Amino acid sequence: MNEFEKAERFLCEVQKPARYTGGEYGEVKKDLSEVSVRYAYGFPDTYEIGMSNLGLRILYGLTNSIEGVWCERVFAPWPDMEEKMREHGVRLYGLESGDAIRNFDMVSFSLAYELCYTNMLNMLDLAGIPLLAAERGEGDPIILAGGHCTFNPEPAADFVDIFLIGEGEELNREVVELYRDMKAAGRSRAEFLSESVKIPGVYVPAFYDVSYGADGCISAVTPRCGAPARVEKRIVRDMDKAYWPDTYPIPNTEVVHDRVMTEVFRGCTRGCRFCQAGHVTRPIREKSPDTVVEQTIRHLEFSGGEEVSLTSLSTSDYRGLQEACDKLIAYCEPRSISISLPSLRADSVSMALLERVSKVRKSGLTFAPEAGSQRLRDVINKNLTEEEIEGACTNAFASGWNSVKLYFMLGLPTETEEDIEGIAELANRLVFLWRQNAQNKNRGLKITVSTSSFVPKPGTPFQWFGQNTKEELEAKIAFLREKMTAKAVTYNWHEPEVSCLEGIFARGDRRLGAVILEAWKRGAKFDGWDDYFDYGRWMDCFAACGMDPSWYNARQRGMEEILPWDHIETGVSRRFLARGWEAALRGETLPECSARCGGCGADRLKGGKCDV
Amino acid sequence: MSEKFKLRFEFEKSGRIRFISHLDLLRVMQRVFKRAGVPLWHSEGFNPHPYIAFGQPLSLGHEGLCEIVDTALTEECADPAALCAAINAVAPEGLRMLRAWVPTRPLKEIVYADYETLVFDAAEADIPEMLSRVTGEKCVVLKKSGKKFVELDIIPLIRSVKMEPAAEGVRILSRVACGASKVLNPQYIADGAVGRQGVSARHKRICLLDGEENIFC
Repeated sequence: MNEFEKAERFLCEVQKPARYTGGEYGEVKKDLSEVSVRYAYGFPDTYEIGMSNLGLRILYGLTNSIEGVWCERVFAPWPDMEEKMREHGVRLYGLESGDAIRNFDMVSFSLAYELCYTNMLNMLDLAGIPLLAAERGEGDPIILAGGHCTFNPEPAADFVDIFLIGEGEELNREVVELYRDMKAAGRSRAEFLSESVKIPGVYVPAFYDVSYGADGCISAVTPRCGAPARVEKRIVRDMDKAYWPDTYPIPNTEVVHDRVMTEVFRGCTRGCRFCQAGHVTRPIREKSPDTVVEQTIRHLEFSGGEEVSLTSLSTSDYRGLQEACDKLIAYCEPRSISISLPSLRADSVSMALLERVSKVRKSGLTFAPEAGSQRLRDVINKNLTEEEIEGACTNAFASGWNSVKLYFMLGLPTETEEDIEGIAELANRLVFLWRQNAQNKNRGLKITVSTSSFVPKPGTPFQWFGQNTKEELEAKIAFLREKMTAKAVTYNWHEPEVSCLEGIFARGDRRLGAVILEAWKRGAKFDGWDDYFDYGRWMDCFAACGMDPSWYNARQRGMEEILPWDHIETGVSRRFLARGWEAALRGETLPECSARCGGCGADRLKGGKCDV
Repeated sequence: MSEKFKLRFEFEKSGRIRFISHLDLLRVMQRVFKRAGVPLWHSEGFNPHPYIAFGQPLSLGHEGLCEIVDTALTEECADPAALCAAINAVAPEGLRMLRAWVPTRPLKEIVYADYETLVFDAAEADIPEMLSRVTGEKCVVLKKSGKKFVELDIIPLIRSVKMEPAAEGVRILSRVACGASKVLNPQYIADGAVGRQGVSARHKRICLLDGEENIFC
């Protein structure tokens, strides 16, 4: 009896058991006689979140396209399922086969978010795999990790054997193929790890000694065992030739985003200084409109989906957008398939396009001014002006939209009370514009203002900035609440505690591994979920480990300090980031890449000039 | 409004897919029809939707060997067997169309269903006592109703019941109410027979029957 067969007896007693069965259309099953490497693609959150992830679709297909390798999926079971599994002695299993992943060759984790570390540990424990890399040996799976968190992999260094830095289409294939070939040749786990560091983009944290000075800062990071001094992230140079799956598992049960997603480009030319994704995914690489259309139609036909989303960090900046949309509308309209364009800018061209694609359904408008004043928007290099927001909303109200969502951040560098007050003022001006321009006022106006707390991230010009404390952020929220007076405006805010914890791990070093382990031992899991997040428990864990959390999040770093992630190269130079920080303090903006190259350095990864 | 050509399918839901809910099954059906290129008829109006109606919902975790689903197409189906094959080629594991035909009877004529229930926490020796509990004058079980439990006498809802030993426990073969007005989940027969709530059991619906106890089609 395999693990799934044991679980079948109690699956009816847990919530949404379809999350734990596999068996979807598009799942890959292989004949074990033709499989030499068993691989689990682990997603340290629920099935509903993981199955909405484009990276999973790509890497699941990619890994299964490697000869002799069977890649299965595994997600974090919800606590009710976990309890039953522990009670009945069921180990974490791959959804495709129902076999325990304990016996697999490789288990990877997609680390998209700092607060998923405890889920990774819990999954390893449920699988029966030693949590610490140092305690794993021959016969234990190799634990891999990739995703945005790995641009500062250090907090998870104790638990992961190999970090895969950057994009996976080529890197993952090379690592898995190397493992497959070395396993066939009878080579050991240790030999594989030593050999793997020859592949660019591979970071084996155990091969780096980190020493600290008296001030607690890092004094040196020393590679051993032939590991490179700096690990440079991998990218796919040509998006038209990059791997794209023909099929992917279509969930039988409801997930967060059950729609076709087609990336139109990677990278970003905007250079918003707070944005990690916009920096670490550089340089910009576009797909041709024909590729976008072909890949989209392929997935629509395969999935039977009724919605497609063209994704990127800033879809309006896609030069082929008009052409791709024209062709897609021709395909989608007669079939009642809706097209969504997230991350659009508030300019007139985008608005006209939005109007055309959203004939089927008119959803709400969303803008992310991020900061309430032009001064602060200049500091963060968010090149969106008051006039653009107001112009876009005027047009939208005139053509029948009655609902607007606005996103802002609190706690940005140099922020003052005037900047915060500017958020309320902007919302009030939109109410005024609606009164002047709305076609039909009977339906009322709904403006939703949401604020989150800014978390400084590695690889950005704000990587040195001392994050606002929980108390400072709470005071800012209270201040803004008082300023929000208009009836049509609803104000939502994220509690700063979560952001403060994110702030610790985003820029933490490998000494935090002890805290993560302690927190997991004390029951921390699903920290990204309000119902499970327990800030007090985390603070107790820092105290128990004798560590000061504010040293990690609230401390302004010295510009010369060795940062824990300095040996991980995103392609954007530290010098460029430092220039960005200084310019931010002066309130100077940086033009968009297509207007003038800012010299970030990422063009080197592409072997020359950027595609702008 | 465009002309509507009704079509009835008999299908099987077995194996791992038995853990999806009725609502999920409805979504999966729509997706599968779309993938197979079935020319589904859609209602008119602001939010057009296809016509899909099930004979009787199947409880989460139960398998069904001859479930019924009705739909409507925009054209007459010339080759129902080929349509079933096209759908099965794009269906998830465990969901399989068995045949299709133009319906002549309304779904509300479904009155009974036959179930095969495997009770894990019982043995051959328990059969006489189990049988006597569910064939007496009265057999009250606790039925979940929202968040509360209410008492339910299952005897009037049982048409017939047989038991036999099985490798993993005791097999119950039952014919129970399964219509629009009265319905009995066979889990309550297992609960009633063992005399305890939440007995570990696996259920399979064998067929749907009309008021005359003939197979509904």
